[in-house]
Amino acid sequence: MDEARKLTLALDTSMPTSSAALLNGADVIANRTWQAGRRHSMYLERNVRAALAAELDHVGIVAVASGPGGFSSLRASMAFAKGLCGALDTGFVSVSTPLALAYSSPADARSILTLVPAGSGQYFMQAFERRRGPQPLPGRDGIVGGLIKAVGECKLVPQTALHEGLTGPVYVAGGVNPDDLDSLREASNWPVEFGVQLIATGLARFVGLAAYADPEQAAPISAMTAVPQYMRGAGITAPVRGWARR
Amino acid sequence: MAGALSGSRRSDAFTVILGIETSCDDTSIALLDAYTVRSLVTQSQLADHARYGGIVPEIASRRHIATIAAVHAAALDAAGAGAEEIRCVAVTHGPGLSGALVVGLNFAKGLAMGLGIPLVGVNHLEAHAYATWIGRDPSEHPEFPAVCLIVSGGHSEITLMRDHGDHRLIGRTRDDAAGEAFDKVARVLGLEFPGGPAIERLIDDGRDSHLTPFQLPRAMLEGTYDFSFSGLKTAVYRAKAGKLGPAETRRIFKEGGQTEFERGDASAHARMAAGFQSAVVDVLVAKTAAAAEEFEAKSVIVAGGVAANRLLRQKIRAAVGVPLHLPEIRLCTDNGAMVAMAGAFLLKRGRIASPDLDVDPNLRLASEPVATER
Ligand SMILES: [Zn+2]
Repeated sequence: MDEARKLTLALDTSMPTSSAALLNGADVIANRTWQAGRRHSMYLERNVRAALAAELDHVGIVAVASGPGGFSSLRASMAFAKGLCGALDTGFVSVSTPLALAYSSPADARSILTLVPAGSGQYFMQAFERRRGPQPLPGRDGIVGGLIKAVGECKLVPQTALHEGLTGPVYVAGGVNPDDLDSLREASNWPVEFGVQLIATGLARFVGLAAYADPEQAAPISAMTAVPQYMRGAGITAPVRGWARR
Repeated sequence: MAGALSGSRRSDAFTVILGIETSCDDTSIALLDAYTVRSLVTQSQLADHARYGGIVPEIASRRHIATIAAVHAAALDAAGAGAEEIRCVAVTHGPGLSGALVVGLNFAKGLAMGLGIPLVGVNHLEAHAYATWIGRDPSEHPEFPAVCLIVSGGHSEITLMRDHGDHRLIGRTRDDAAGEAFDKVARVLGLEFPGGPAIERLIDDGRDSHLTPFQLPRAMLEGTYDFSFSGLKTAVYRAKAGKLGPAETRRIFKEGGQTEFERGDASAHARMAAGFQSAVVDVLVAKTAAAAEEFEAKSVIVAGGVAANRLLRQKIRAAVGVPLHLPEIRLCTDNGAMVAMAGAFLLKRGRIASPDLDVDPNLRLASEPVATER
């Protein structure tokens, strides 16, 4: 690894709270969160600058959460990350939001269920498994909470069906409505432990952590072709005409 | 940004500007060196939208994010330029499709931040006018005040450009944009999207037979520089559906052809296409020429996708008494070069964007306060 450019800049705009983090390996150097509402273009650069301080020259990887999430908000941070990579010629890592959530789990959680609220009583659900315990990674100087692998695809499921994927004790990571968590506990035959809501603290540092711990799983595609995960209804409707009519 | 250009042959704001345009369906990036296009790479999405008969916003946004990094790399490659030569990034931040603008603007912000160079936010309509500065010697550039006709599938407006950055909207369409009317009529005539070039081809095909165009109504809207194309479009719809009133029928089909048109004969379609095209062009030309006269313009600029229309180019040239400025054909439709050109003038006036610059899908042309340096 290039010593001079060993930092990871991580961005997340897939959650209701956006975040940017700067990491040295697994260590978080800076972490910023903000509420952008619909104005992602407005808040992104200012917060990235604040997270970076003057360390831009030392960034070797730009990691960005690829969703699922709001289409335009995902594209805002991904476009920003691509532009930055185009300028700095850094590595680009696209991390799925569920994978980043899974990396927010404590080191002793074996089975992890990630839930991303999708509105209308639905969640994006994906299960993960921790393959190894906390350890130094070969060729890397930080310690991360093991290696986490997905078990199956990310699915859009109604809140009433959340328990169906459970086959043992599980750690739940994500943003979950308390009522939905209660009914999940009731319906499950297994203990359900719920992790920190990442609303206040931001997901970006776990995007960076996932990129550091397992860059190959995190980044199946390059900056040239990376696209967000479009999991929700297609949003492809009738053409607009005269969009700039005034 | 002092020192950024050490060794460059110019010290002004004009070299080298990278322009990014994603306001609609083209992902386009150009490198502009003064008034010369070093490279222009445009990834058109037309094929993706054609089957919907128009631009689908979500498809446009998805194509932009999927291709923008490759378009950028290709533009640098084609220019044989390194990132260190770029002095400023210019990007369209409105008007346009919100989701599409988001991609270009944030890519531009990341790029400018990474390169440590300024970013300027460009108004897309203004950029169209600046296409006429490109590839020309400064002695041939438009003189102010200039009346600008900006016509495309998304916009139809007449503006008065009194200086760089000083625009006044003096007329606009009240319904369909001119290019949009071409698209809709092309559809009725069974032609593909986009309608403008398709209609021109149909007319060309019928040219040898010296067909008389049908006589379509021209909405001149007296006392204003606004346009309306919906009545014209509706007349074509109703003619096709056989639903014209007796007076309308007599006027439109004065020289016959009604049965052939309703039946869908190619020659009758060509006559309708020609009639429609001249009606649109007549209105655009009359309004622009009148505006040039009233505002004592020293030049007239015609830009936007419809500025590629040959009949419009011909007729406007004959109608205005002052120098006429038309972009090269390839710079009529949306492109990164015109954004870079507009950006160069913004940079020259020190109008550097703040990190908070947002997209503005409904951005209007602004009149800046008169700059003190002039
Ligand atoms: Zn345009």
